[in-house]
Amino acid sequence: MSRARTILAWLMLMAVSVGTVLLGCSPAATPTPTSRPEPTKAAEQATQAPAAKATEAPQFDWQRNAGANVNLILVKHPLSESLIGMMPKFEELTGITVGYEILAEEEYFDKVPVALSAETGEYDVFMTGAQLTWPQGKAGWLEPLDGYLNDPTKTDLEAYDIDDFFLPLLKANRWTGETGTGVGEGTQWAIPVQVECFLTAYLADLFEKYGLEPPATLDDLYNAAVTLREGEGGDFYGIVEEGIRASAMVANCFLPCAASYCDTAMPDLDIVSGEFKCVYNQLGMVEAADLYTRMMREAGPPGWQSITWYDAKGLFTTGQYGMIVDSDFFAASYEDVETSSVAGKVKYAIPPAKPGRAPRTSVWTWALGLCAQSKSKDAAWYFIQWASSPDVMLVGTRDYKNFNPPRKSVWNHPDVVAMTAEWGMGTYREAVGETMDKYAEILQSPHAEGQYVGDRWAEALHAIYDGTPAQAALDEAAADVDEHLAAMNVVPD
Amino acid sequence: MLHTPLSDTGRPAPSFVLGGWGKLNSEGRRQMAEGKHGNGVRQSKQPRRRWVQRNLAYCLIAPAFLIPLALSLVGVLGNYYSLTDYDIRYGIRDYIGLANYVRAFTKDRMLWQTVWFIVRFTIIVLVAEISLGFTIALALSTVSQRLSRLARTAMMGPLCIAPVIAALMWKIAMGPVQGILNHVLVMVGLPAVNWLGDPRIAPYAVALIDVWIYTPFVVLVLNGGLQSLPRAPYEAAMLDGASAWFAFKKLTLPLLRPFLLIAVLFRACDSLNVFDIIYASTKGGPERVTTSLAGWASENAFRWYQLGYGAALVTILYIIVYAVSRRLLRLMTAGGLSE
Repeated sequence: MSRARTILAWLMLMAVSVGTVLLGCSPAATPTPTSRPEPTKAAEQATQAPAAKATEAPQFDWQRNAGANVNLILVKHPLSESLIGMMPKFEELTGITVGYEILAEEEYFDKVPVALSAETGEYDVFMTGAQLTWPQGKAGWLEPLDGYLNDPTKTDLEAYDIDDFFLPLLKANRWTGETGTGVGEGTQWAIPVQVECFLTAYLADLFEKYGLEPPATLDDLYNAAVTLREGEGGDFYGIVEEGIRASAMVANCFLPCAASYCDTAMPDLDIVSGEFKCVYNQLGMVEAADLYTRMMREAGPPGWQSITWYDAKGLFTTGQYGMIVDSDFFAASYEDVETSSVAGKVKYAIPPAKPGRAPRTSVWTWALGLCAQSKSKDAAWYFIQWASSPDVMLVGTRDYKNFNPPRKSVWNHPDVVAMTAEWGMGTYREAVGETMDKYAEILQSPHAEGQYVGDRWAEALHAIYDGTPAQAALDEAAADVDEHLAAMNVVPD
Repeated sequence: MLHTPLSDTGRPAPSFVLGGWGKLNSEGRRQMAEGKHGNGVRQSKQPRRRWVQRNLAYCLIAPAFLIPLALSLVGVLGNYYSLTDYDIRYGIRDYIGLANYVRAFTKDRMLWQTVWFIVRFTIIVLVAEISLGFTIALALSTVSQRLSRLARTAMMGPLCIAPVIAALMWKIAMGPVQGILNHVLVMVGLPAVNWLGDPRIAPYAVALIDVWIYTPFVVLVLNGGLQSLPRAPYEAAMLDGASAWFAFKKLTLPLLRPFLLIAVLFRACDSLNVFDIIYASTKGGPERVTTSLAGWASENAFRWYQLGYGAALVTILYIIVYAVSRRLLRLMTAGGLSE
């Protein structure tokens, strides 16, 4: 009996030890779907379209990957909401089950590199963007998509209609991989599903009250902000901007106002004697940084440095801020009569520029990338193809306010035109069209260290805001960037 | 010496003769009385059983030792990564020895700034939490049991909330324009404060969040200590006419010392490692005045892909925390308090 008890005791001890260790070593849980909103009737009709086309053209088989599972990681964004809302139709069409995870933007940027670096294929599809494809492509985390786009067994070429995309937006997600050049050529790393240009939005009634014109220069912007702040007083501020210490703030808010002040091809890096040199401490950029931060200090809300884009968008809709220079897609929130206090009161203008120069405003495309380590690449491509198809994008834009669409057919669709024609009292479509045609460009040099370069720039802007002389702050930041690029061996190809 | 009894066949008695762990039943006792001895096979099992009996305690606590040891191997792996140029995009390319550490100590201004921040942060929260926690624990020890239980239950609220959630709640409450704190300040005629946006105030604001979350922990530890103090010394002191202050200074404080040191040890280690509260509230800003060493390591490792350098920074943090905790443990054992 004692021997049996001895054996039993040892077995229990081993079981507890092994079980505890195994518990700690268990793999990350597969993302599971959270509760999803019911798809709208329009969504049902629209997402049946690819199926209808499949019956007319039976050679393309949407059920080819039935039974597969695809995991997504997404940013909290109207784009994600539109995809999640229509997800049941994708699953019904293809027989592919989809799991997803959604994170706020800054947390997403922290998590995705870690998840991708594990190279376990935990996520099959993830949101990326033109500038993000550079480090991700170099790291081997992104699957090149040209093979999928050109293969009639994997893409319903006729229905997908690649030529329907605005070509510059598709090209923005192409890169040869050559540091310092090659954007727009080479490998297609991701498919754009949303595009943002950057506009000035302002309260038209207050501008009229104070005799202000839409700001054409950064000085105009500063003067308008200060006038509104001094005129309205109290809790009213002349301008609100996102201010978190991140490269996104620089790209979304500062550069649209300041890029035209630079004298080099790109405002961040220039190639000098075959090496990269940080140039955001050049004279024009210093002037712009000084004026921009002074505007935020004198006419913006306190706590600017902790305002995210979610905050800035929401704050402007309260009617307590006279202007905002940020993403054009925020207009969908400003013009929402149910939730916005400024609906119908906002007008839109091209961002300011240096006197005598054309505006230069950033462009950002949210795109869908296919993880190179995915175990279900064909199924993942089916999801990307479906999500970026004309019908799904139309529903996403019209019903879920995923602005702006990167497809011409969607941007010019009568429903979308009717929806946006009145925005900004007619100024929205005009400003967006003109910006996309003439002024929008990628304002960063293509290389793999963009996150550091942008973050360090944001840190310098914070220092200037808190009182450090602009030239000194930017000189120090530029020196840090030069040192970092040298340490990382980032040299132009 | 206990020999395994033999059955009547001369073979070793079956184990059920022993009624338990080394305990003889009546058959076993009978055979023992008859002086029967075990054969060679049986006798070899006795030393094994005796070994197990002698080392039973070690066997039972082995998992509690081996599992943390296994998990700490992850830290050892991190130490190895700190000696390489590990970039999470490209993996390890070269072994670079102490180059990351040399860079940290000679070129990285942020190392000293973050160390200074965590030292200052730790001192502030320790002083606040220990003094506040001690005061509350003392107060709880003077009220009725029922009231004390109710108060303790109410105070556990902050400990039940994830620190990240608590920090987000405070971030909203500290909002410069719409936050409730400023609303109350303005209502009573005081000026609004830029809690998390003013570089002079932000470090104290994040310390306030930490104090709100973890003071109940200190209360729990010290209240438990106060409840366990012996009554005899106090009765003797009362008989001798000692004052309440004398009893507090000469009895309560020395007797409560181990509990105080435990609370200080836990809070010091936690505070030096602070990350979650700051990540959720200020993300290290404004102007990096609230960037902790853990936060700086995280930024280097995961935002800028330099895992090797981040691992070096974490190793430096580990050495700092180890040194502080070792000093505190020495304080505990110096007064014979480890018994």
